[in-house]
Amino acid sequence: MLNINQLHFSYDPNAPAYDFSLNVEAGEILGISGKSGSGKSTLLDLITGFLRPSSGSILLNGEELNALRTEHRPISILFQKDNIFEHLTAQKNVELGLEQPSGADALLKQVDLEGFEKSLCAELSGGQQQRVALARTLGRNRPILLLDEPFSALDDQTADEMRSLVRKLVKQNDWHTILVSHHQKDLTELATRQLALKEGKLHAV
Amino acid sequence: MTSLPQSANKSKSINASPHKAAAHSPINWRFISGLAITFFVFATIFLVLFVIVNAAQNLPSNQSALSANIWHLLRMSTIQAALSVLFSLIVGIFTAVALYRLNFRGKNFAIALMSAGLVLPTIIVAFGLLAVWGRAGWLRTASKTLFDQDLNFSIFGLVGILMAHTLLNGSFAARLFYDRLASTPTTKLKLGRSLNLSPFARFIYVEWPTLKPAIPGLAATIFLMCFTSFALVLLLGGGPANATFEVAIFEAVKLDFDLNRAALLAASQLLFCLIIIVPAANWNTKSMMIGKPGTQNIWPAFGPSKWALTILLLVVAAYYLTPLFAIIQKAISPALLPYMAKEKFLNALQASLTIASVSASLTLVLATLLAVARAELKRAEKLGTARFPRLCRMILGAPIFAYMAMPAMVLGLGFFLITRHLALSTQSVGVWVLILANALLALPLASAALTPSFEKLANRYGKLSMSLNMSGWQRFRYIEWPLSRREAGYVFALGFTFSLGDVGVIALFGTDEFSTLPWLMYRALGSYRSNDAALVAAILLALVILSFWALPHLFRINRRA
Repeated sequence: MLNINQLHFSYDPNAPAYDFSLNVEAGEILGISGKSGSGKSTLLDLITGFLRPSSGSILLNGEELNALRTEHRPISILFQKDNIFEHLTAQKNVELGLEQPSGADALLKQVDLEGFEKSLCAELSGGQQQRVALARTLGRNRPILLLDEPFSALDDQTADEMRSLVRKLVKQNDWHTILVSHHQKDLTELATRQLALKEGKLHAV
Repeated sequence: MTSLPQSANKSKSINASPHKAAAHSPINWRFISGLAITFFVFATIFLVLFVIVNAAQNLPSNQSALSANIWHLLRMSTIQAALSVLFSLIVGIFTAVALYRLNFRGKNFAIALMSAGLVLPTIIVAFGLLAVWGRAGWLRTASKTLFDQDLNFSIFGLVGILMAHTLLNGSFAARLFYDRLASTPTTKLKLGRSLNLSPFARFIYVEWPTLKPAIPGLAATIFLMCFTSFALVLLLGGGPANATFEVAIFEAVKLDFDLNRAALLAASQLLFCLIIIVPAANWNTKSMMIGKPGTQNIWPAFGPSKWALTILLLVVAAYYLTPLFAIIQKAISPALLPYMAKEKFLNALQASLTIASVSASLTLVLATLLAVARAELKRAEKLGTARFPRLCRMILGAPIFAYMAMPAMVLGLGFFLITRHLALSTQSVGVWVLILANALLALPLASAALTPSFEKLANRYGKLSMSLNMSGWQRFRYIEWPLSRREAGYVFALGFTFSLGDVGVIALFGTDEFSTLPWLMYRALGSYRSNDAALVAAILLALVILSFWALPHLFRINRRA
């Protein structure tokens, strides 16, 4: 289980403080809603280690993650866009996330991108680019998956396909998943449980 | 070329107050002003070209010797410029990467120092390097004192030229590369870091794609600057073996008074520069990274790579700063104040400051008019009314590149020949030629600093200003000028400092009576009065740093509209 206990953070002493506590089971997708600027990205940056909390803890199955540098945390992230290096091929993008640079083709096949291995990512559609990022996430197989509005830049049909794919992969791999979004459709269709972020704190919906 | 938005004309009857009618004028003055600048620059260049080519037709008798000399100059200038480009790019890339990856106190100062490299007068750099690496320099003295060993090293020749060019252009390249790295999208950094990319993989997959597109254009610019280098080669070249065309032209005019040879050399240099410039003007410099740039460094270096980059940065800083410290150390003497009271110094100071002020103002006017025209084009493109936008952009961009083909010495020679032909006083014409040449010298960078801001504003407020029926003047007064004042201040400072340190045109027009600070310094060096040269160098250095720091502040004073 992923436990976040009273994670406290403030950008500067005069700015409003954030205080986060939550739990996520393996295979669960926790949806977090909130207005722009409510602190959704701040929460994800704290979990990944891009920001340092002033107090509190992040535990995965009882093991503390706070002391680990970003690079060493067992986390995969999927942003709204810019999840890949556009100037590299789909295959190279997937390989960059793997410890052994093999098996990228098989991973791309799992996300229905067979035949696109040598395509430059800049030439792929937004949905295909997100699939490449998902293939890499799959290959890295980190127990925590953070989704930062990953479907916002996609059209309705592609977003539906991506949601199904993510749901399937999370279940298959038992990932502890946190989805932040201000799109109600993402949250209702994908999240198994929801919290709302208001004034720097999480509230049950 | 371009036309005003069609819909603006339609709304004339609805909103026809007299002062707003200007917005609907069929003549687009903003665009025409840009074209007028283009015409003015090209008219100047063609006039100079005509005079030089005309003079070059009267070939000297020993043509074969001259032809061999031209090939030698071309070969040596090319080798020297190519090596300078190589070293400057290597130093620039690694310095920028080190600066970008490391977080340390004084980082902003270090970045500002890189910018200062752009405006440091070349004659000061040459003098500073001599004070550290020269025969009586710090290194040789330290080696003798500490190890009783005489360093068998001479700074004169190709080595000295490369050292100076790398110092000047390496810092220029580092500043430019740093800006590109700083524009790396945050998400790409987050992605790279979360993927645990090694320092080398980070360079290959994240940083290199950001830097690579800038290299061809930057390499061409540095190549041209080194190919047409004058003061550094004159002081550190060590003789004709390493001379550039600029030095050869200067020697032909000043030492041999062989104007035909000078004209032929100038025509040859012009031709070679154009061969570089024409393709360089079309090189794409867009980054291969897509996304929004971040404001903070979320991926600092750590571990061994942090130490390696710190050491690299310290070595670079020592290389950059020691020449400047050496100048200050030499200048601090009881002779400083009495020297500053001397009439010839005061005259040179007055001439330098006057020429720099007028020249910087001219740079600002030219760059602003070109930026306004480019903004007008952008606005017309946004509104879908632009005709031949690519051609228009090329025409408006031409003056920026044109001057690079015709460096100070060639321009100076052209006017020198005109002056002689019309039997004018070289001193009175020299002032105006200096002002014009210095303004044009700063124009490429000035335009690069100002135009993006104007274009961005046209993109952002184009439709709004049209819906409000604002005239071109109103847009300039209420939108463009207030929101581009910061860049305008930088442009003025750039023009001022460039002019203050110039030693190109003055080399042809300078006399005992008419001198600027760099020329005074050169003459002191030429007559082995190195203490006097050190005093002028220190004052010039202080003036350049002070004006580059202080002048932009004058433009930031907030005035409510």
